[in-house]
Amino acid sequence: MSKMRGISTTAIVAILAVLVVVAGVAWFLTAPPAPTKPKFVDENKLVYESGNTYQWMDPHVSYYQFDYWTLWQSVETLVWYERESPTELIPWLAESYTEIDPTTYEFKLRHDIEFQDGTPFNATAVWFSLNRLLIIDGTSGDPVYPVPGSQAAWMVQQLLDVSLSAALSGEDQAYDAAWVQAVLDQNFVEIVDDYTVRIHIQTPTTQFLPIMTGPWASIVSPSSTIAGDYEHGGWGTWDGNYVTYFEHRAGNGDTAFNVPEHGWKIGTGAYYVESVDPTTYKIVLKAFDDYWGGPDKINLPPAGKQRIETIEFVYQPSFSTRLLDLKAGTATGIGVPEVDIFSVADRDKWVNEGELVSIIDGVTVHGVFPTFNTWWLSFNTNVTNPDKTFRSWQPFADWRLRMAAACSINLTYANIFVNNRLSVLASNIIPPGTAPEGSYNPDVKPTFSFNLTKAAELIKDAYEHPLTSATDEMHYYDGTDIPPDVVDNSFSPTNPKYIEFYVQSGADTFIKMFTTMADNLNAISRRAYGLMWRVVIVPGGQQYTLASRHQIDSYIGGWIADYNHVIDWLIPMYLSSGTYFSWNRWSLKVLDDLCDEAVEADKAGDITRLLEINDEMNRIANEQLVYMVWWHDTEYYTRSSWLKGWYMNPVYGVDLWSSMYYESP
Amino acid sequence: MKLYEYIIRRLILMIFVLLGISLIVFYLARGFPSGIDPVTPYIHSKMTAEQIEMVRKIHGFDQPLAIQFFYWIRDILQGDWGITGTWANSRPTNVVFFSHFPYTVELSVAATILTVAIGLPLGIISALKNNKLPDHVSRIIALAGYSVPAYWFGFVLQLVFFYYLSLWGLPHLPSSGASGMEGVVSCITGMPVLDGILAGNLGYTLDALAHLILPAFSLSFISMGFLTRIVRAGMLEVLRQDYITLARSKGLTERVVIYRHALKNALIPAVTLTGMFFALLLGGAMITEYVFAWPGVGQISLRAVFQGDSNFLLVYTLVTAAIIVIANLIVDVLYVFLDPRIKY
Repeated sequence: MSKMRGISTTAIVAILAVLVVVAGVAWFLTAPPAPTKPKFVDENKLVYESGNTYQWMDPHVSYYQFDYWTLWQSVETLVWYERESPTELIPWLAESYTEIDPTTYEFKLRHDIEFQDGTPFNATAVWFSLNRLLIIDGTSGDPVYPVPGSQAAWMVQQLLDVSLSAALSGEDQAYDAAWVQAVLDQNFVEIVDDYTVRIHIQTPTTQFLPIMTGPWASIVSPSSTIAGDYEHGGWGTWDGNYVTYFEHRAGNGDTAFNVPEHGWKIGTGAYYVESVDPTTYKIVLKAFDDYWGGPDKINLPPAGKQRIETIEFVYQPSFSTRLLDLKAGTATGIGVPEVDIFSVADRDKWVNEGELVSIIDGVTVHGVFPTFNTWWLSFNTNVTNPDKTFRSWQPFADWRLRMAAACSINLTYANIFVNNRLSVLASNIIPPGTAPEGSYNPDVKPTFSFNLTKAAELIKDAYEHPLTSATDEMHYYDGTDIPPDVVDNSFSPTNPKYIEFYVQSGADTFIKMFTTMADNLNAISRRAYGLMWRVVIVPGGQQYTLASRHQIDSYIGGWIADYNHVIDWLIPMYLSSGTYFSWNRWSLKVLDDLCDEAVEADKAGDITRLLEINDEMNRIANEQLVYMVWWHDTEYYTRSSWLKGWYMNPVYGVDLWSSMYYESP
Repeated sequence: MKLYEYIIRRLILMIFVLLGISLIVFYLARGFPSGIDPVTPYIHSKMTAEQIEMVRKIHGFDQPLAIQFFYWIRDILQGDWGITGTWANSRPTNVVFFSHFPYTVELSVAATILTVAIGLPLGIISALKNNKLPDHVSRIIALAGYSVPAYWFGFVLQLVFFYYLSLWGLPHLPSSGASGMEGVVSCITGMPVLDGILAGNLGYTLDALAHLILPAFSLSFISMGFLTRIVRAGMLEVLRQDYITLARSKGLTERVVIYRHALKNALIPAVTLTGMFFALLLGGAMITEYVFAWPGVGQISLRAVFQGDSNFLLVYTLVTAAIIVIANLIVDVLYVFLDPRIKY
């Protein structure tokens, strides 16, 4: 072996070989070829990957945003929205509709539409479908162990006799033959002829048509639905009598279509469900060849463009893996969490110019679009101890401490630099675009702003003059007044007290914001006054269970509209028996009275009055600082640039793929 | 004590062990003061306080903890393992667990095979070529194996063997999932590779194998490192023994000396490690299953943790505890056959 200056030739060759390999690997990794046609284009398949999984695939049971994404590709309703519009309603499965009187609507149905199982769409199907929803009933909870009833039935039931609804009456229902007959006797859907139905509601409301756009109001094939449910339930053979079916179905949400491993073909939509894998959560939809196309075929691609044949919803919990799949061209679209937005979009362009530009070749980021949701900090009064006794320390019964908390953070800054500017700051709880037009009024502004000096003054005042009796908004849970000397909001360095912000784990943006608030407030009050603020992180959803037990001071709350109407906000948010007040134990009589007035205005169809009441309620809520409203989320959609004709409807936040097609970018 | 007596005694003790574990886990899951509210996975944010209380009553979560534990034990013994939350479609817990378990078994078996197939020879080579280049290379691989974070290594494997290879138009492995051909063959065992073999469908089997390679290798890389070191250390010690010198002096070939005399004794700690590794894997490799979207119990239990589903977590903990205890027992029994000196 020859040597050169003590180094053998073998060693030199080995070193050179390693260098060549390293250089090759570096080139391989850093200079890939230009993207080619993605695999899904060749297969005419749309693959959507997300970290979410479905809950229930029966449109009459489901109450979950992710389920709606699948359902909207497969089922349809009598009325729907004009493409991207959140307010303009158009007849869909109905050819036309007329308001005969405030409680009666007549729908002329389209002819020549088939369900995916080949049976005809007609008045009987409408009668069957809408009554099925009512018959399944439900509490938006869990009245039927182990599977819930319909979690969405209440939305239609509120238009009828609420005593027949477990959710709305709060009473157990018999779910026997008499109950079924009572539901049917409401004559919600009257069959006039094969292609005409009249829908009768018991209370006039401008909410009716928006409610009828929801997937809970989907029209499904009676024959396939009944056959599937009979087989699933082991009910033997159907005798052909719909009432018999309804008696089996009454109060029982355990249907054949919740987890349809072998799919279902019960809708009229562009895609039928081919399979659902309960272990991998993969959902496969296939194009319905005889799909009618929607009004004027707007739900199909333009002439000459090929419709996407297969849609796959793939559960991929790891965002990094989803991103690789998108870049490699094996996924058409992926779910991108807000904290990862800059893995797909240019940060500078977005933060500085408000323009969402993809940083991935062959990928487009569509957005941002408004959503019908609001986030806020909930202030709870009437907090109890874990042993259910009334807690004497009620910090957020004191307006001063609510305002101090609200003034402790710069929401504008937080929205830009913590939330990646992905929301619209809220003036009040009503998001933009809420129907009727005018419901969203940005002039009804928050009464707080970032002001640490004001926060300090308020805390000092609360320290020097603590609340020592219950406020008007407070009462015991049985409704009785709280006597004097029960509430003791005094605090000091020798009598330190805590105020806690509860937030769910994984909600990084909210955790950062609460941490900032706590830091700012602690700098003011911890040493000087013995008032300490802290952030408590709990598993997802637990802040709600604790709030519902009235055991926490505050938590981050959010509401997303069930359907686009302002009443869907006012009642849950402001009525003392509504969802959030039932947790926070607020009881503002003035808001209760205004809720009643709002309902009356809605019944009378008096939109002007309804909007006035809406403004007044929001003004009162802002003045009282019932909620520290933060923002309304916006949404963005990361899709392959090969996907053309893209659009979404913000009411349910889904993009409907049936009219889209593939073409080179 | 005879072997069968020993086994029976251990099985009886296992019952007490599991009871003790279930007590501890039950308290942590349902009773710990700052713990998870057990009703959490069954509710959502649009329910009123009254509706949430109704759900709490239906599931018995309003009962005293001791009563809840009694009913839970009774139900478990009757085969009712409770209901998962809405995140798992409110299906029975045992249905959810056992629908995912075969995937974990398949991944565990594959990872263990790879661990032994690579780790064992590496350890032997390392011992035989002590302090030479093969030993150094082997030890670097072993060090990398137990130093590298599992999630990072999984991502690197995806990056190289899926992303870059596909970008260059080269044959590549799938990024995630257990199969790309769902529904093609019937589910018999729930393990895609085995189902493909049983169905005689070569395409499906190869597809399932392709999906298995990256997660299995990612998992095995960690344990491979440990196994290599254990085998190396064991072999080095055994090779220093007098009877090995005697064997060589008798003129036996090196192959016979190593594989018939030395390896068997060096394997005892390796058997322990492999057995425990396999048992731990059967409890689900959460990170690997998460990265590769492998539908095993690790992934599903991670979701249960995030959802606060105490029903599922209780069952999951009990089953994995039982697996570990049984694996320990099997390993202890194997010792008897590997080393005749060992008696119980």
